[in-house]
Amino acid sequence: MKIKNSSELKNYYENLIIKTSKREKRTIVLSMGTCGIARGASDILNSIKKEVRKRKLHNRVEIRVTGCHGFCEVEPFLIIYPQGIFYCKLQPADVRQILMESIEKNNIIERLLYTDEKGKKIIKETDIPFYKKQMRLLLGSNRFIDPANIDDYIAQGGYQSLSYVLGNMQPEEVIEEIKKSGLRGRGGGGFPTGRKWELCRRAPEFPKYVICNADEGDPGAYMDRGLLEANPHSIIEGMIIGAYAIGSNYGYVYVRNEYPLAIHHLNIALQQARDYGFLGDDIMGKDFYFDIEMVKGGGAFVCGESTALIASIEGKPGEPRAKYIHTVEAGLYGKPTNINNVETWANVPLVIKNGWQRYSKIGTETSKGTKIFSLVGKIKNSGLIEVPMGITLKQIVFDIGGGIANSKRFKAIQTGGPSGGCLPEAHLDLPVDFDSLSEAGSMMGSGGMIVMDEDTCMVDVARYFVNFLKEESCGKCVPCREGLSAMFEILTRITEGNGKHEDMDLLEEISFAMKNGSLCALGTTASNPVFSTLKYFRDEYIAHIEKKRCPAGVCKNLVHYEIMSDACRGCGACLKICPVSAIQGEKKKPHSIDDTKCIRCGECFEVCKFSAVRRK
Amino acid sequence: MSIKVFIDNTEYDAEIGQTILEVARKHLIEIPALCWQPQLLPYGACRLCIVEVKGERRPVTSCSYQIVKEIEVLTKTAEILRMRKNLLSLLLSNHPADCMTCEKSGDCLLEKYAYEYGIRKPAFLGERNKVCEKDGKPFIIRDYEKCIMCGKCVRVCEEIAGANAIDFGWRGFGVQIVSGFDGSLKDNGCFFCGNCIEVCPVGALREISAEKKGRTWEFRKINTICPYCGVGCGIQVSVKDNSIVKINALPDGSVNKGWLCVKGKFGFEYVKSPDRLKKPLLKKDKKAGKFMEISWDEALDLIVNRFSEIRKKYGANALAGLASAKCTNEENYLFQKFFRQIIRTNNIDHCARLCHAPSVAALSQTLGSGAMTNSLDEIENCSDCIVLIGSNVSETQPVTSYKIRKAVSRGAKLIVIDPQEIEMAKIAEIYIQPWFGSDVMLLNALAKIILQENLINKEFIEQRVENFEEYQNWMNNFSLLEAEKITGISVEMMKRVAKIYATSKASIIIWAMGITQHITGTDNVFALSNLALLTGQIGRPGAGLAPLRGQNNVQGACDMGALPDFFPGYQKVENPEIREKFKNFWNAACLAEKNGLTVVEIFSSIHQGQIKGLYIMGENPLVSDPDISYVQEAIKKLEFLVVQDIFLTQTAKYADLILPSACSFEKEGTFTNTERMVQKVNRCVEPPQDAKPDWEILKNLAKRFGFDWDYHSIWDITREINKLVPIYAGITPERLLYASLQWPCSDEKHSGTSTLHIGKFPAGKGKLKCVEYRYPYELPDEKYPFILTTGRVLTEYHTRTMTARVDGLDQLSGEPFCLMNENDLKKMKLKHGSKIKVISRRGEIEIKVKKSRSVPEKTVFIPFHYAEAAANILTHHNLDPVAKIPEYKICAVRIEKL
Repeated sequence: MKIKNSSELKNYYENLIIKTSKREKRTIVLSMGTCGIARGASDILNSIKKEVRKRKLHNRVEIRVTGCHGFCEVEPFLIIYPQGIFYCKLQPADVRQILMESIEKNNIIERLLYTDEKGKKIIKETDIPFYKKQMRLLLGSNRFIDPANIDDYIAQGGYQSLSYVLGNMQPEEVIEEIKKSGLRGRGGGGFPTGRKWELCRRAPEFPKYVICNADEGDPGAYMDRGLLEANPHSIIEGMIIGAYAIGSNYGYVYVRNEYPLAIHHLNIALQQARDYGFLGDDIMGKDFYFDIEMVKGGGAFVCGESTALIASIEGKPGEPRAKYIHTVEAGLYGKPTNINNVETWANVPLVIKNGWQRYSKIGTETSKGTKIFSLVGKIKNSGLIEVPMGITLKQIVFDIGGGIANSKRFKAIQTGGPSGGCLPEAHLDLPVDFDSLSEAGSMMGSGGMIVMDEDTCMVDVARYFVNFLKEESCGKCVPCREGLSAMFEILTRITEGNGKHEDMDLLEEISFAMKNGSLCALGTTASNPVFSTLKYFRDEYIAHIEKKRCPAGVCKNLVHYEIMSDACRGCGACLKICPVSAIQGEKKKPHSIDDTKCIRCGECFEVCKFSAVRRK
Repeated sequence: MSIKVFIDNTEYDAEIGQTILEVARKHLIEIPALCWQPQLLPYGACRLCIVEVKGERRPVTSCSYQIVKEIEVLTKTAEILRMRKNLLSLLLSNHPADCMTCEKSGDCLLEKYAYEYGIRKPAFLGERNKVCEKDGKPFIIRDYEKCIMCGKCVRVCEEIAGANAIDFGWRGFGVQIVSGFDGSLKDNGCFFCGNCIEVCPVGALREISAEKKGRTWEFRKINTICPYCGVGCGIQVSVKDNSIVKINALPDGSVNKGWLCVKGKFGFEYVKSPDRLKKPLLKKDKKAGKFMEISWDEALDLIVNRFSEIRKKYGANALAGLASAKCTNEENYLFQKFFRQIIRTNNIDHCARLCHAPSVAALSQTLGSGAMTNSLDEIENCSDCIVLIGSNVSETQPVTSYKIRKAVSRGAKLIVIDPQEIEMAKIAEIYIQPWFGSDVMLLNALAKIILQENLINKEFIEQRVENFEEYQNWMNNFSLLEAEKITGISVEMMKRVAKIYATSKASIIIWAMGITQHITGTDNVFALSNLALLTGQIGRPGAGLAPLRGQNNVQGACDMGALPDFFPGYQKVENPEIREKFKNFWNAACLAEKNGLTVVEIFSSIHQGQIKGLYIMGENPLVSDPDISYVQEAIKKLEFLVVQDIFLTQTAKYADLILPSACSFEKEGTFTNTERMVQKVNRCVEPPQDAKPDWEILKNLAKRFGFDWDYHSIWDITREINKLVPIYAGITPERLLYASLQWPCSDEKHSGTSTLHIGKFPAGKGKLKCVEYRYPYELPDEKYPFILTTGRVLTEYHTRTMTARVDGLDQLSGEPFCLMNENDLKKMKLKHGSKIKVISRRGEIEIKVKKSRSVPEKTVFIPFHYAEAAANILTHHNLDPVAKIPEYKICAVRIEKL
């Protein structure tokens, strides 16, 4: 069925709404993004299906499988509509009770509800503090949308922005709208989206290409995955609008192969969009052809860089090139190419729908709208969050994230993926926007946020990220190829206790050369973890180098365990758990550790109930 | 458009689009760069060329930063220097510090920059890339431990050579240069052009030949011209102890712009071959074919005696001479002068007869001059449409193919027309594969379409072309459908070709033997010339007609009148005024009045008993000429044969007297390349023992004949040429010291001519020629069902006198082979590498067969180089009626399994 013009879309939308409102069935919404599935949502789904069959509830209940809603910490969870009851941390065994109590009857099962910090049970999802402090313009509709069903998206008002644009706006007007909205690229660069489109439109050559960069490779970041899995049509709609504005007929989505579910959903969505006439010839009755092809990446981090991504689509090795000509003028196959990130594209329908005036009210002076972050690490509520630009780090970590897990102390937050910087507590009041984070030596990047507690060694963290980037560097330019390798060696040497004082200078020298001399953003930002930890956590480096100590107790060569004889009761727990039999001692007499045998696994430290094991 | 740029607070002029580095280098401002190569696209990997540009957030790489507005650049701020030092230090940390034993020392950029930036010891000594040496045999050492990953080799292989034999493998710190699945170069499509060595800034890629022969400061370096094909590449020869150690391309000002091919780069071992002729040799025993060494005096006296005898007995026209396209202009001039002034015959010809005689014959008639109308640089920089017809240019003139490749990457449209799917077809906009020998039909069809679709250039035709109406009327009866039938090319496709050719801003047609070596060779060229005249695609930079010449000095040998019908400078022998001019200048009693005989006619005249004595200078007709048995029989009938050569060739074996000559590395003089560029050849090493430059031999011989040729040096001959040959008048020895010049060059102030026929043709108006299609002489039939087509291959040259004596080339293609379509092999149950017998009505040869996709079905391609399985045993000697060129490209054969 093809939707040929805006009135057809309107009718179709209204019919969907009427159908929904007449529906008497209860809906069980199950969050089944990759995160949910990893936490066992598939088993829950199977149990629900089995129970529904068994109890013959087909006529009373409908199941909707959606992508991730954001609150990954409490997955698997489900919501029962129309009441909006939120049950979390489910086991397959809970399903029977849910169907009996909450579907067949109207009871609420207290024990499956979310409990807030004060111990209060919360029934509705929207009342949970994690969600309450957010502004979920993009993620908010995830719970209503089965990504494999375009009707769900249309019922949320989907494709109406496209319809409006094609019916009422000239391409230049669309660009103007986007420009005025202040939308900036969400992939990390923060380049004004409308300006980019304009440059691409003005480039004289044809054909022009639009590309969606879905090669999200930062460790700990999964904003794009969340969107692709949960709401692929918002991206497609954004791309069609963009293509219209730019004057392009060909689109690509470059998605990493490690996202099978996203690929699956995107494939379905693209086909459905074609079936409905949103892609292909004469879109919405307008003389406008556009279609999107999906290209799967081969797993190279650097292919998230625009020119490397283009090279990869062209079938060449994924290496960035010197950008003496911008991709908007000569990109894919040497033709004008507009690349935007997943989240940027998803923002486009939103801008059109709300108008630039309303959109630009959200955020700060220079950064508009909302931004999705993946909040992970040593935090209580990990998950995907969407907040207005300008919110402080503190609000994110403590109000939304609920603070540090296991009552530990906050130490640092790393923003912007592996090449972001680590900011200490003193910077928690920083507003989160493109410019403030850069000034502090980190970056917004695409939106990864990793929270670290007092047990994290910052030298080790720097080494971890440098190792990641070393593996992912394409090897084209000297500073990145040779610099990362040299930095990794120096950091390894420090964490092993062989560091020298000059090493910090060397690290700074390399950082300097990389930051200013590298070819692409991977290289220019790769030294951020080192640079920022050297700046904010220099004392830790000094402790490693001068005192041969790792204050967080992470670097194995620099950690020693000993049992304090006055505290040891000789229970034998440590002796039993030690994997290398480094602990001796008679029962009920103080034990001791043979340091030469000890492999610093820390098991004894964890197992001791009397805090008799000490880490130095 | 010019624009102001401030570099380190000094103002310079720059062109819009120029990079900062280009401007800086032009003004000798030193900015270090390892991955930058002016002829390649900017790459920006080494980052050493970073500079500060006011207003930019970060330092920019000057190699890739294009100037579009007035900017201020600082190249040596403390920060920039600090960064460069860091980068060099990082690079050196991952580089073996073995400069004291490195072959490249003294010539290594990394070493130079380490010195300039004062890095005694790298700061980050740590892990090193563990890449070992890889197989680059037979010519290249791939010592990748020294590699700094600048990627120049990869880029030159892709952008210039088009071989794509190497690429980056792995990534990050582990990145390496690999070929194929990390195999040897030989097995992975390498052409061994050696340009990767030319651009390697460090010692990672080196010549096997130069290993352990010394380092750069130990060599004497002489600039000269490559002895192989007609491109005339400028080379720098490194010499130590009278031996050539290696050859490099000359970058600026040369035709080749820094590039070479496998022969030019590596094919010099023959110079020192023990097989070189060192003394004059006299045949002692005709039956056993044994020779004895004699002195020069004896040898020259013998020639005087025998030639005088023959002349006395049979007349001057019983003597003939074959000049050489490998010898210098001066030597060819002397050779024809010897025959015209001393012997008094016009029986002089040379192998141009077997290659571009039709081009010269046809273009002289239609335009007034037979040479290439444009320079090679124009193809690279100006042509928007390049029609490549009947020229496997990547095999025969590789450096020209680089230029075409660059043109294509610039956006020029390449149209390849060839029965064989040649290498260049891969980058062609359109490739069409007409049936053998259907060229006239195809080209007429294109002309018909141009007329029919009104793609003609009316203004041009009105002003510069005659007999247009006659031509148009004649064309009325031409049927495109018949053309479709005969050529096998659809009308649709021909229309596309015609349209692109006619409507491009500047179109050039490039051809070679695929057009000329037919009995319709002259007609083919007429048909090409028609296209240019109809569309006005001639007489502008990048637009014209380009017959690619085969040998290093075949253009020059023609220019110098080593032709039976022309004095030097295409001045007609049969024109009494011209004859008078030469007679007076040479102080000769009289000169022969009639045109002499051409190459193939000379041999038939021997058969008929008219020619009795033959003097061959540097040619090897017993391999190169058609129907070898016929030539062999002829040569045996001669009363006296003199062969002057550097090796004992197949032909020399039949000689009564052999004279040892010097090769091009051992003498001075000038060569004229395919684009009419006259270039100076310099002496690099001494000739072996008694071998002498050909001009000295000729001079001494003339003396014995009683003619006092008073040439003190070769340059005296050049000066004589300046006086007698108007197109060479301004190309004086003094000017050649500093620059190469393209003829016509009328006087010493004239700067040479890049584009011919601007505004006017030498013949006045251009002439359209109505050419009827004729079938080839011998087409396949039931008995001989295959077409045999001959040609050349990249790693061999002419009759292999030189290339067979270069070990590496011999390893690559030493064994004779033929190519057949893989489907034919399947049908005949033949395997790649099996031996077959190829039989024609003239003879048969045994040869190895190779599987090919480029050769069409029912076709055998045999390179003509190999004496041991000479393709010319099979070919016939029927000639084009005008140009007298044999039809090497088509004869009928059958294949037998062995």
